[in-house]
Amino acid sequence: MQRYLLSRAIQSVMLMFGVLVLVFFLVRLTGDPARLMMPRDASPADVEAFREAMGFNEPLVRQFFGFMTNALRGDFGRSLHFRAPAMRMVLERMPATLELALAALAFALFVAIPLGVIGGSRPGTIWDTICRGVGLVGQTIPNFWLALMMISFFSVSLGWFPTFGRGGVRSIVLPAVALGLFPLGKFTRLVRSAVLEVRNEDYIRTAYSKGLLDHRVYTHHIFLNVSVTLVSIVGVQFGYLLGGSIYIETIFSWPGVGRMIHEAVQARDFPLVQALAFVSAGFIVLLNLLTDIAYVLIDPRIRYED
Amino acid sequence: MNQMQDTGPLLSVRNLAVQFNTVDGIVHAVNGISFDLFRGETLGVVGESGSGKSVSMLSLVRLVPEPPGEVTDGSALFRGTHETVDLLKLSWREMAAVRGRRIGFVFQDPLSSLNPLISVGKQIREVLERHNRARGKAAKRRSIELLALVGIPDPEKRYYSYPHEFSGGMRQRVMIAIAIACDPEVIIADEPTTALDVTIQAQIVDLLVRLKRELGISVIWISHDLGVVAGIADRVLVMYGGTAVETGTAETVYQHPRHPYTVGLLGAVPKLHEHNERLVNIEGRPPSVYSRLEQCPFAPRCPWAFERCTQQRPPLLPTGRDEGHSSACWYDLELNERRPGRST
Repeated sequence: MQRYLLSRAIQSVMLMFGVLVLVFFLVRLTGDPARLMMPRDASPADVEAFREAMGFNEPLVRQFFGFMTNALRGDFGRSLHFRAPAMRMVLERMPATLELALAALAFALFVAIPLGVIGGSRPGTIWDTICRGVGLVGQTIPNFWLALMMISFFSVSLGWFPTFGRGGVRSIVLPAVALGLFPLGKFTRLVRSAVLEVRNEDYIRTAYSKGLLDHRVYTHHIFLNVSVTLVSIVGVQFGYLLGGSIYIETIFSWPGVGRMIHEAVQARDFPLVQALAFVSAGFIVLLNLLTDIAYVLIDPRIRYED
Repeated sequence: MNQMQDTGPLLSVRNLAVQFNTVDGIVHAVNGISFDLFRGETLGVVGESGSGKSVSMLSLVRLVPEPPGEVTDGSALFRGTHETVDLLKLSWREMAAVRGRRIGFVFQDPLSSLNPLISVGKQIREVLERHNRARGKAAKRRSIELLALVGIPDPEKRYYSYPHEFSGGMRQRVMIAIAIACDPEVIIADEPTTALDVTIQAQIVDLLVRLKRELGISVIWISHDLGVVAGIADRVLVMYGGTAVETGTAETVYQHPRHPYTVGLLGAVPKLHEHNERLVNIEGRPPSVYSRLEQCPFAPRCPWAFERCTQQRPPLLPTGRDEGHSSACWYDLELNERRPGRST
């Protein structure tokens, strides 16, 4: 098991290194970075001065090593627009995104697991129809549309929740519901089909043959096996949520990285974009690693493979 | 034999009928079978795939998924040490209290019958705790004893192992440990050796026979392997097309089969001392299960069949050869004559 986890950790570090390389070259691939980063109406002299200041006229290899050395120290340069260290700005925004992502994930799982289990255990009944309906609606309703509808109904008409901003428990409810809708639909469908599949396994018949009652069979046998499938998809979905939800954070003026991506791209703030890309990728890699650890903890067959 | 009659059979099944309600129509899987299981005996249930042997036995304890499965008729009196119950009339909860405690199970495929994510120790312990046989440390100790009893080497260590760390034969031993954990009165073994290598098969047969003798358990041994059943069964129930076609002591059924299907089945067993070019088989195919049986299910394949066989289903009747030997056939193989019908 240690060997497996160690090799996965090393892979993750190498992957992050690859992300850095990609982040560096992608900006250069788009053409002359100085022209791209400067406003359209900047004078040639200004562009040249900027190129000099950013070191873009140095040989590419040298630029690359300079970028890598700085990046490894956590220095992604200064935001062109905000004139502040890019990485620090991103990390300052991260807690808000993390908070929203966790709330959305919790909401999705809290609804999807019971619903999926109920639907999967009673195929063809009204419960199953509800379960399938929620799965479909969750995955097809655009979350920005739902966000606007909820704001107009719950915030404007009823005044239950603030229309935007971050502050207090109430402010997170609407963005979390809007953001959690898609994973909710996905998880519901996944849990339902996994329950349907697992309940026909021979070992479930064995569990019943021991005289176990439904609640025990479901909590100790079926759900354990369903969770193997669930863990992998939860990891991936959480990664998406952490990458920042540009729409939802923008609609609710949520001060997270999603909104920052929106602002940074619009302002052509390349150091900031680079830092954002690196942090988002880092979280996804970290989540994949955590998913693998969770796998190992749940499924002994993986644990002993090496 | 006399003593057995005094106490009566441990399990009396009468007219059991099971159907599956599928989108393609109703599948009549079991069409009214009756049999007895006596205390301490092994009843071999033989028949080909789809003959209803597994469905009939598993439906007694409601391990056939409902829906689509449905028991439509019959009774199954289970005479326990303190009470007699009709298994088919028990509630789901009452039935759950019987399963694992009074009736243990060994299934066909040991590779898929144990939960891959739970250690074998926990899987044994779970049945002990469910039926309040032991808890905590005592449950663990008892589980290790059971592992030792079924011949798992180094049971203290193996208690923590997971199913994938065991071979097929060892997993089947674990299944047997679960089956006997609560000292059941009956074990239903559904093709327990079919998925195993031949050498391992013999070990599992020996183990079950030994445990049955030592613990005084009655066994219903479902198999399509006549050879295995011949070696261990006291009595045999031959099934075809969801009906019981012949029953009797193993000796009588094997030496003096009276139903054409049993005769054909025994004729299809290859013999080592004869050099046959081709394996013998029974011509034709098993009956469609979508129609309710109004005739003898074997009639289309039977060399002795005549009009009556396709008009009226023959009941299981005593052959008179010896006690308990019955056959469901309109043709008397011993006298080589057709039994006269009521009206024809």
